This record gives sequence, structure tokens and C-alpha cells, in this order.
Amino acid sequence: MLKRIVVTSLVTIAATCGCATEPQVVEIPGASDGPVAATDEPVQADGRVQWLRGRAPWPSEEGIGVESNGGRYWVVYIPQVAEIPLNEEFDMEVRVFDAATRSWLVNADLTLDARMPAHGHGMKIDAAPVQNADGGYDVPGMLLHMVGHWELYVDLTEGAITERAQFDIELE
Amino acid sequence: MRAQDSSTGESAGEEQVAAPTPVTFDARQLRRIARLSPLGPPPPSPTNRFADDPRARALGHFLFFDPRLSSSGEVSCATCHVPELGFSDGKPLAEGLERGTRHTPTLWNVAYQRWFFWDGRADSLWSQALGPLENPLEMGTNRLAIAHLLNGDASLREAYEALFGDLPRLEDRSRFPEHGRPLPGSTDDPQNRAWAGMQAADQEAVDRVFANVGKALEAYERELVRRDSPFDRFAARILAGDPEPDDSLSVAAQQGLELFLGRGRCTLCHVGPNLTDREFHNTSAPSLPGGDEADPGRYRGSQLVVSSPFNAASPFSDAPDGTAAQRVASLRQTSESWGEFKTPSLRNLADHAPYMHQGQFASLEDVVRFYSTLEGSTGRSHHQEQILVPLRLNNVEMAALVAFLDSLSGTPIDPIWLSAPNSPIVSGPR
Repeated sequence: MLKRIVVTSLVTIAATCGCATEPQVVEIPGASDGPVAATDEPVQADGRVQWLRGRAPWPSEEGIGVESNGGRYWVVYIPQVAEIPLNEEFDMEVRVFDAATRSWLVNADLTLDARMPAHGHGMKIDAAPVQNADGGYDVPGMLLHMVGHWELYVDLTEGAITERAQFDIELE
Repeated sequence: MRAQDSSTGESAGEEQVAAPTPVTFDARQLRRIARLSPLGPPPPSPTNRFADDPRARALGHFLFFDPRLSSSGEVSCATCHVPELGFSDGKPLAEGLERGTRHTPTLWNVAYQRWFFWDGRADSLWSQALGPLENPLEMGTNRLAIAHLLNGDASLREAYEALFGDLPRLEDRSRFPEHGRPLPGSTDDPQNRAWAGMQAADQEAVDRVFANVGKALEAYERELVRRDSPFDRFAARILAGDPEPDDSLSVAAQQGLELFLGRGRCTLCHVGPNLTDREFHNTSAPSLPGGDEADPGRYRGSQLVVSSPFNAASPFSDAPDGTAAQRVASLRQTSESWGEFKTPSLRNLADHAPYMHQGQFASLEDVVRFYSTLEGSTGRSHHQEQILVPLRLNNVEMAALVAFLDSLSGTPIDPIWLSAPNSPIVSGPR
């Protein structure tokens, strides 16, 4: 039986809505040719491959989004079920965006975990995000096995810096 | 201590209680009740394509009661999983060939579990069945001896081959010694030496016979299901809006249910229609005097299931890419799980005392009293799960909780499954 969830963002959203329905030009820092037209082709910039889409993903059009604690990323998680079930496996997708350029971040050093701080324990499984062909990260087999308050952590590492996007999930 | 449907005021100076009144459950409580009932049929077992085959069930039924599946010829699965004792044995610690270190768990509703054994070192019911067969404390046989038993008994051979195909050419003892099994930590053991001397293809063939025996045993054990308890009948009526469901469940049991859903915090772990989350927790229950005080529980169990040659991802699984295989591949192995044991189902408790992983508690009253006081608790480190708090229930409340637990006993099963059959071959409806 699926359970109702209540999700709140942990971090105040700083970005303003720039959502557009038409393809738009997006500036890529370090790109030698200046602004680059939004396409589906990968663009190399600053050592990171970034895919551009015809429509800016800002703010989240799907799922739940939050800014990472250092402000460098916008992270969205999308459960692949209508409601996160209690103690049954479910899949989800995570999408990561560069907060400055609003472009998708692919091939990220990304780890995901969840804990119940009031209980002092985490999940019984290790989540294993896998880059998918659409620019997001599939996370199969998530399992939240107890009722109560969970914290979902998405950690992103570049070089020596790790930033965390944290989400609250309540299972009743 | 048993709940009464009348005032149970005790001696002067102790708690005075009013006559119990039926409980009115609010919307939130009703949602929680709906989560506990009804219990549907057992879930599919994709790693065992014979799990619901009547022929496998018949063979497994026969093997379950067959003492030839032990080195002594005197111990069968039913020696410890006694039907009359709730498919446990009434003892704190299991006693097969020798005394074990843990209590024999019941097999009631075992088909609903996600992990098997107290420490979850098996991820399927069929692979669990293989453990006791070769455990020297339990049945002490070996896979080669089992294969030869099947080959040498005409009815077993017929039952096996009708289901799984031809047995290997076991008559060739140069290829298939009389006894043998892998013992990685005991290279000088005669059984390990015999096994190591076999061709890889022959080892695989014997392993497959061994796995198939487990699959037959699972098919039988999937019949050991009891549901439709007095609580389920009460739940059905109250969730349907019946204004007077009380004759399905005593008032004391209703009060126990109310505690179970709320102040008792029981549904943190005992959740779902089989009243178990099927996962692992550290109850910090005191060890049995003389028992293992340093039992690693799930910590070791998680290591064993991941490395098991018969797990859901193994070549012997009928769904090596399925959900169970993915689950074991992603299983977290962490020190948090030290001393954790599987949450048992609370259904059908009445006939298989004692309780807990070492049978530490002789009665349900003792279990409830432990959770009420946590007296004797071994405690937990700050790296471990912290969900237990003393419930501080009074005597009436403890009795009510026990009354509710007593209401979870389901209807009896067909007695045909409670004794040894005459033949391993299915004949007519079973």
C-alpha cells in the first residue's frame, strides 16, 4: 500500500524562476565561442561535459528540487512511483544542474544516502546512482523501511569540494 | 497474566482500573489497522520456478520428515520444526545433532519473509533449507550424500526426475564420492578433500541437485500459512464501518491494539500484513545464561548472504537478474547491524514459545514486560539504532497487549501438512 509523503525543502531557494518554454541561449562559463545555442549535443566546458536542452529546467518541472549547501548545484529527485512506499523497493531519478549556468551536470561524482536521524540508522541497502541516457541518474531499489522522518542526501564532489543537497521525507 | 473483560483492580494501594470499554479508533488508527490486515496469499518466489508446483510440494513434504537427510539417520527438518509446537521445538536453543546457538524459529508464514534465519544469511526459502542440512550441529549431512540418497531410493528418484530432470550418473563413485561438500576453511577435512577432487562440472551438477532439494522443501513450506485471525475479522468489520465489531475481538485485545498502534511503538518494526518489517533490529534483549553474548547477528549474516553460492544472483536462482538479486547486490554491510536480528512475525505466536533469537523469554508476558521496562537490556552503542525506550506499561496494559497478540493466531491449516506423507510422489489433489 502506498503511503502519503510530506516533503519540505531544507534550504531556502535563492534562484528565481527563469523557466521558459522556448529554446534559449545559455552561457557556458569558459566556453571560447561565447554563448552557445541550446542543443542536445554535449559541450565541453571547464573540463565538464554538459548537455544542453531545448528548455531550461529551472525551476524543477518534475520532482522535488533543492539547492546544495554551497549553492553550486540545483538537485532534483523524482520518485518513479506516485507515492514513496513504506518498506518496499522503489526507483527514482536524480537530476543535477549547475546552479550558475542552469545546465545539466553529467558524469558527476555523485553519492546518495538516506538516514533517520531520530533513530540513528540509515537504509539497509547502498544506493547506486547510474548515469542514464537522458542526463539524469537512475537510482534503482531505494528502500525506506520504517515510518517516520528520513533525510535524503545527495553529495556532489568536484576536486576537493563536496556539496550536499538534503531533502526531508516523511513516511506515515 | 491474562486480560479479563472485567475490572481487574488489584490489592489496595495498587492501580485501580475501571471496567474496560470498547475502543473507538480514530482515522489515523484506522489507517494503521488497514496496513496490518488482511494478510493475502504468499508472494511469488521468482528465484524458485518450482515454488508452487504440486510435485515439488509433495517431494518437499516427504523430505521434510525424512531423517535420512541427516548423518545420523535420526534427525529430520521436523525434529526441530515440530508441527505440534508451531513448527518450532519449545526449547530456547535448537537441538539437532547437537545444541545450537539460536532458537528454532517458527515456520508459520515463513513464505512471506524477505530474509531467512535470524541473521538473514539466506535470501530465499529454498537456499535457507540447505543450511541446516549441512550444519554439523543440525543435520550434519552433505550434498553428495543427499544426491546419493535420491539416486538410491526409487520413489525419491522418480519424484525428483519427474520434476527436475535426470539425476547425474552418480553410480560412478570415482566422479561422485559417497560423501563430500566444500569447506573452504577446512582444507584437510575429508569431505572437503573429496569435493575438491571432483571435476568442476560434476560439482556443479551436485550443487544443482542440492539446490533443487531446497526448492522442493520451499514448495512444501509455502503451505504453512495461517491467516484470518480474530484480529483480521475485527479489522475487516471496523474498516467496513461496522458499528458493532466487538464480538470479533475482546475489549482487552482492542485496548492492546490501541497500545500496539500508539504508545507501544510496536509498529515501528512490526508493520505490514505479516506484522514484521522483515528487516533487522537490535532489541538489546539479554543473552540466555550460557548463551552467546557476542552474536554478531545481521553483521555476519549480511556477509554470508552476499557471498553465498546459492543466493538470488547465483546460477542456481531462477531469477538471477530479478529484484531479490538486485537487493542482495546492494545490501549494506555496516557495523550498525552488529547484534541485529530479524523482526519476527507476530502472527501465530501462541504455540511456539519461547521467544527471541535465543528463546530468552518463556512467554509473551515476559516479552512485553521486557519492552515495558528494558530490564536486563544489553544496551546499544551510539553507533547503533536508537529506537527502544521503556514503555512503562502497567499490569493491565501489559495484559491487554498480550491479549492483542493472542488474537493474531490464524485458522488451522489442512492437517495433511502436519505429518509425514507416505510417498514423495503426488497422487490426486493435495
